Amino acid sequence: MSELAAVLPGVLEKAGWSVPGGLVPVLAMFICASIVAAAMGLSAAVLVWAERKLAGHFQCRLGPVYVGGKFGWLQSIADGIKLLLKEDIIPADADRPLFRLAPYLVVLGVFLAFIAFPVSEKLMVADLNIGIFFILAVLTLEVFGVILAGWASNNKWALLGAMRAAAQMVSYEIPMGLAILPVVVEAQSLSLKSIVAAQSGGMLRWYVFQPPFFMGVSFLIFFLAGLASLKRAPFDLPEAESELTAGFHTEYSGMRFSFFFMAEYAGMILVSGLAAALYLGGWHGILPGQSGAMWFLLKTAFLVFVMIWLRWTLPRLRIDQVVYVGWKVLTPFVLACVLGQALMAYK
Amino acid sequence: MSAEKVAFFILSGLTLGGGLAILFSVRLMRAVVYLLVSLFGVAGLYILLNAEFLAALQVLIYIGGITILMVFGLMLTGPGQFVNPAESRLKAVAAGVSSLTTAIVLLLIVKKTKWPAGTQALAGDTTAEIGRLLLTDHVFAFEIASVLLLVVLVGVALFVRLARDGGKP
Amino acid sequence: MTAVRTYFSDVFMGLWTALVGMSITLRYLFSKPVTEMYPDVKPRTPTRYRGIHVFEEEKCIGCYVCAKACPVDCIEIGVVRKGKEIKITKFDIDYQKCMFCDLCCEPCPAHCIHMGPEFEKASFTRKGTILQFATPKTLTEEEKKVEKVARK
Repeated sequence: MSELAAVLPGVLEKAGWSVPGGLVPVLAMFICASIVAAAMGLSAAVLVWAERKLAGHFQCRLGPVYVGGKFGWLQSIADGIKLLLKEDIIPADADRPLFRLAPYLVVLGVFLAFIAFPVSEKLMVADLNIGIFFILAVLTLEVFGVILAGWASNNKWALLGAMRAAAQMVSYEIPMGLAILPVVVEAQSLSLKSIVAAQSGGMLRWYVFQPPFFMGVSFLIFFLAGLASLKRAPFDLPEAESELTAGFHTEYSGMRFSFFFMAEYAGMILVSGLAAALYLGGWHGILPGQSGAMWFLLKTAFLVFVMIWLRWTLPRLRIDQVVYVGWKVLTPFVLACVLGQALMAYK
Repeated sequence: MSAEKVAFFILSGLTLGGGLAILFSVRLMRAVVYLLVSLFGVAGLYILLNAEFLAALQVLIYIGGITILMVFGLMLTGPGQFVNPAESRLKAVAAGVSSLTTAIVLLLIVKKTKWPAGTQALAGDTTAEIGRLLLTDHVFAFEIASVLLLVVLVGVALFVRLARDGGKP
Repeated sequence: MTAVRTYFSDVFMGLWTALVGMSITLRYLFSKPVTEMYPDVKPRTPTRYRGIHVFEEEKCIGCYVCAKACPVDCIEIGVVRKGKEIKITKFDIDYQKCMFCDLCCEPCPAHCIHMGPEFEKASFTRKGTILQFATPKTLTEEEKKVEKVARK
């Protein structure tokens, strides 16, 4: 963003618009925010299509084929228009203000997290000192929104979904937070830019491949906990279509529903991108010297593919199994990783 | 007025307004949402003070942890009015007296304290410094807090066990 | 010690079985989809498929054997005979009743009724499910008198 603010006055002058100097940073903020919002919406649309298409092929089906020509590539646009045109229903016994607030909180959490999203050295809104920590912090807003949605709907399925979301959150948040610690210990920084910069110089310098693989294991744990935080299969208990209708968003329709939808898919990109930046060398290529936003996007896309792949492979866990995995498997393993990495750093 | 001052007034308005709204709301769930607003204001104030790490901690622990636990507890309550102010005269009087005394004491303390205005520039990266201080100068307090939390954890586990196994440890 | 071993083997098996499942789904990802693009591409029904009947009116001798053989009485036949001349005035099959059992085709002495490959005969009205196979004919008054309709 600071680069944009530095370039902006010149651009404005060329375009012949006069903007008071004090407003330039504000303008830069608005431009960044709208780029992030547009990217979020677009990527969600592309991902919804990709997920449906891949889901089809994973099950020997074709997925969408009709809308927009051969591959049904306009399917999610059509879905979006449909959702916009749908009636916005608020149940009579719902807590109206909270019911309305919840989807915005969910989107806000993911949206804020994109501020520190490191696409490439230049392409990030802001390189915060506490980048990764900031993202983890604002992502909790999303869970708050989900729980609020479930409670405000005043519906038993929504409430059950929200309670599961809360129970799940308590069990995955700790391994997720701890899983980034080995990386932070190794990179000695919380800023995503310096974490990625520390992994330059080819594939063998990526943190996943660093022997004795403390960071490799914590990558796995981060990825699993991230899946749980996105409420995706096999951790999609808060939604659980087969038991809870649609879980926490049972009562939502139209645009409000699509907010939850968008947050989920934007969250997939977020978690995959974070994993790519923390463990897979971010914008650095496979060979030494290669770098660029392309590499980051490729890695993110691969991790998103793995998420979709997992979703269409594994059945849903039970809530007690999720809590078991969170507390009794992921947490001890990640603690061992943190300890090991800290000892390595101590020497 | 500089941008920082505007931000300060907006954020403190959020903090105080959120706090007042908690006091005057009779629905528990809404009160939690107001608490969220108030805590957000505090996080914003931390950012204004260049204490980004503290701000993120505030969001992670208070918003992500405390309020979610509160909501988890409150989730089983209904959506209607939960607090009835006119329920008991005695309770109202007791609450009034105690809060009035607290307010007076707080005001006295605020007035008596000399608020030292820092003249040195704000530190750039507070995270590393906080970490260093916690593990050197304040390591004792840090460890005591951890032990306390551990005791609480074990105690809760024990109580749950006792309740489940019918009183036999 | 067994508890510890079970724990670690459980964790390992959890990961391993997930990987096995993923390898299976990956294989499916690259296999040919089984989807039939039905309304666009009509599937070829197998030979001996029992679909909507095919009726050869010029062969039919109006003997009612098929109508008698039908276990659900869904065939209705009208015949006008004048000496050796046979006029099939009616050959209706009610596909709400028909269960495609093929019993009507077997006894036919003239081999004029067969099970065909067609299957798309859904209709919005009940009347639309009764298919008329005989070509429509205008009958004279005299013919109407001698018309025999097998109704059951």
